Amino acid sequence: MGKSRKKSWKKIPRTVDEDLPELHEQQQLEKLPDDQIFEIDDDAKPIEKLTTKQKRLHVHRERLSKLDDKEHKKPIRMIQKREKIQLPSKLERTKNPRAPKIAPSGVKPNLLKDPWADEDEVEMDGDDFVGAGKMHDLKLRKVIKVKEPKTRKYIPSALPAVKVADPGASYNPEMNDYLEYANKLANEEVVREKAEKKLDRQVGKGMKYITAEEQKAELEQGFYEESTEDEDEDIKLDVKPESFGIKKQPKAKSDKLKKRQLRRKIAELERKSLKESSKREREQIANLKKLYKEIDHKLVESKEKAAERATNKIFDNFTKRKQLGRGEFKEYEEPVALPSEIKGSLRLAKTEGNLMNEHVKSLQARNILHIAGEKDPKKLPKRLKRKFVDKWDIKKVTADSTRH
Amino acid sequence: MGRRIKYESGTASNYISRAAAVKKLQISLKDFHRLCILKGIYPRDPVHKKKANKGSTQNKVFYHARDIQYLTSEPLINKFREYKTYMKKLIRAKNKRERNKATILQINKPDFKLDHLVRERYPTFSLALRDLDDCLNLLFAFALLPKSKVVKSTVIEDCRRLTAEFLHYVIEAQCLTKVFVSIKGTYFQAQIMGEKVTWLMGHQRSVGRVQDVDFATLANFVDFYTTALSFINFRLYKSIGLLYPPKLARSKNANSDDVEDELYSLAHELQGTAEDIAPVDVFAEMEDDGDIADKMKEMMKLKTLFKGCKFFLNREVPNDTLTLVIRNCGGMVSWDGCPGGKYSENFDGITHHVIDRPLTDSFTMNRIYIQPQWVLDCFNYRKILPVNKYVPGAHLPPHLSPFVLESSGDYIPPERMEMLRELGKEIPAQKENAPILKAKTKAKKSEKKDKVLIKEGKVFNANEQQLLHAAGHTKKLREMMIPKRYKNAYKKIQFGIKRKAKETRALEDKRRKREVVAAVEK
Repeated sequence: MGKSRKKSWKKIPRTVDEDLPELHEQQQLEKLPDDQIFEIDDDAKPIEKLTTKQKRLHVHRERLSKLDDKEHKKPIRMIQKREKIQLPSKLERTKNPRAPKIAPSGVKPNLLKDPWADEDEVEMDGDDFVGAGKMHDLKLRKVIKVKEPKTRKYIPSALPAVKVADPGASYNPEMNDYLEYANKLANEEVVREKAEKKLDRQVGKGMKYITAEEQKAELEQGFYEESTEDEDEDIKLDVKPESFGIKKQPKAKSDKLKKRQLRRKIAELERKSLKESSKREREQIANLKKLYKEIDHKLVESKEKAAERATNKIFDNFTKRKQLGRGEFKEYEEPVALPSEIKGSLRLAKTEGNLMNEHVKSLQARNILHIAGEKDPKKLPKRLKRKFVDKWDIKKVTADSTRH
Repeated sequence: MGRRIKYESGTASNYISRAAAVKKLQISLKDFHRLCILKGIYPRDPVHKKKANKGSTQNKVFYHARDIQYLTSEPLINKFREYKTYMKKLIRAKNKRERNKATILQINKPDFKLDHLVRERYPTFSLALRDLDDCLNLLFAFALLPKSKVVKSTVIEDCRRLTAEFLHYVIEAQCLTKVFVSIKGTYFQAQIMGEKVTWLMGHQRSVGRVQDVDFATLANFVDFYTTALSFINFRLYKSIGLLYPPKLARSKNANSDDVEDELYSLAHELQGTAEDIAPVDVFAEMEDDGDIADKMKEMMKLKTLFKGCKFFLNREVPNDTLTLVIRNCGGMVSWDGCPGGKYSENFDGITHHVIDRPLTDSFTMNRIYIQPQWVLDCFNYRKILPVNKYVPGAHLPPHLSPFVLESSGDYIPPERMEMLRELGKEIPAQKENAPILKAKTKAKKSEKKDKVLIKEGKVFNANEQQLLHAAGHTKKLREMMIPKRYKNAYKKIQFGIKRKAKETRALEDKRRKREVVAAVEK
């Protein structure tokens, strides 16, 4: 636009504006009351158009709001603003010790809860996201226990915990029962004594029982040492040629003759065995039916035995003591009362044997406790090697030094 | 495909040695043992030990790798570590002679609860009842121990309290079934909610200090079992409508200590809650239908065996055993010095006076004087026996054991069989019938032999010549088998033997000839 046109606008009088149609409308509107012009919208406006990002954000916010429940959360004590936490000074602390708590007497169970009362399970939301989040949180804070592995269902043994004593061990036993019981234990004792006597006899008085290892060590005593040349010369021959004491030898047979005779002997023996085997074959062919019957019978028997072995294995798995650890298991020695000690009176009854020991042995027998044996002694090396150590930092280099 | 690396899967990866487990969990060996005992994790015996040990044959203790992995998420491990740091602080304070600090630390000792373990190990109440045998035996044994440095007094007190509470339950529920007094102690059996629970109570005059036993391990068991038994007692009391902790129904004393004494004397009744839960095992009208009906009748008879009888126990008689039995059968008991006792020795209403010494001159005619075995035998036989054999001073009849079948060796009682089957283990049906295994196979064989018909047969005479021939053949074959280097020596030995024989023969011939000549000359 030209400069002259712009400037000319300023010269238009203001009163002309007032005749414009827009102004007329505006003035008319001003006369009308508020209700006819404006509409008050109470409903929430629906979000008509949102971008994908906005939609995602919206959904996320909804989810987060669901997590804000205070059921499983610990209540957090709010620290008020401008609360000054004053620690007492060292002197003050030593002056007034903290009020003593009630000394705990053993382990007191929480009796307000019955562990076997039906508890409501933790309610999980149908929504996967929230459910997973909650589970993780509860597991982390150990409110819910971790899933147990299947190996937790292992049963160490099916034997009963208490083995009731024999009727012969009664405080006032019947004659026959008592004799049976006493004889059984006496026989066990006799067997033990015999074994001990045998060992003593084999070893002799005053000597120790030598194990196989010690024996081997004795034999190997001089074996691994470095042999020098001097020793080789001094070895004497132990083997003497006159050990068999032959005075008069018969005429020596030549090698050829010996071989021929041997061959003939072997051939003869082979022929005989062949004869016998052919006889056996003939017999077997004659009794084929009987043989088949026998074989069938044996197959059936072996199957039965296999089945029995399998059931025995399962049974033993639940009843036998397993080898757990190095130690040896010594059975609990059942106590017996001598006939003079049986007084038949409850007043004079005293606990024979050691109940604690019995319990421990029973735990070991039921594969609950392992038996820790003695520690393996450290085996020192039998061969001692010489080690030449040359410290080069402090030595002088001379003609003798072997360093290259 | 490539070669498989050895010991990466299968047995070798499933089992882990104790040292490796301790290293993985980062706790000490003692704590590891304690944890395993509390959680109920047992050492295993793998079938192929060499594989599990990755080729070595060293004797090690193995645990299942999954069990150890499960242990890593146990909150008790942190408690152990806390305790360790606490001990360090305490020792440091003591060594620095900081008494105040030491006392404060001792007062604020970290305490941990084992409640969650009970719930874990016994998810159902019946499982807890099955393990009650072990628990009761150990706690009863501990209750008899004297106070010493080895075992804490709090532990022994807890054991005594819990066992007394359990006995109270047995009395109130009237579920005792068998009693047997042996030289080791008294065996009891009770039927609780369908489970048979057996326990052993040692005699009061028991052996004092017990050496040779690993008390550390047993103390760990006791820790767990005390917690478990307290929960079990709570539930049992709830099931018959009693208050727990137990309170007396009527007590004269206001003093709490005396009330406690009265309670643990087992002589008085307990207070029940308002809601009376009817006992489960009552079938009022039942037809005579075999074993079950008989058993029910027996139980009902047993519950009222001593009803209306008032017993007085003399001083030398063991209180707990007899109180348990008498009150279980509906009788009333008192003794000299019984806390809160209802009647004394001179009370006229006493029907039975239990005495174990020979009678003195002073005795009353209204009451029956008997030895303690009468009570136990009546209980076992389920009827009131004639008193004449049990009079004080009489020679008592033998005390027989009601547990006859259960004393034989590797016998698994049928209840255990059922339990194992419930838990999904395969137990072949054959095992039920024979308590003793190996004898069965022998019996089978003998049976089979017996089925063969017996006839008179020919007498078999072995041909001796044939036997000699056979022996010679085998010897020849064996000689051929001798290795070459020994053949020479063998030949020479044989030659030596033959030469000697020849010489002896020659000498004998000479002698014979000479004798013949001498005889001829004569």
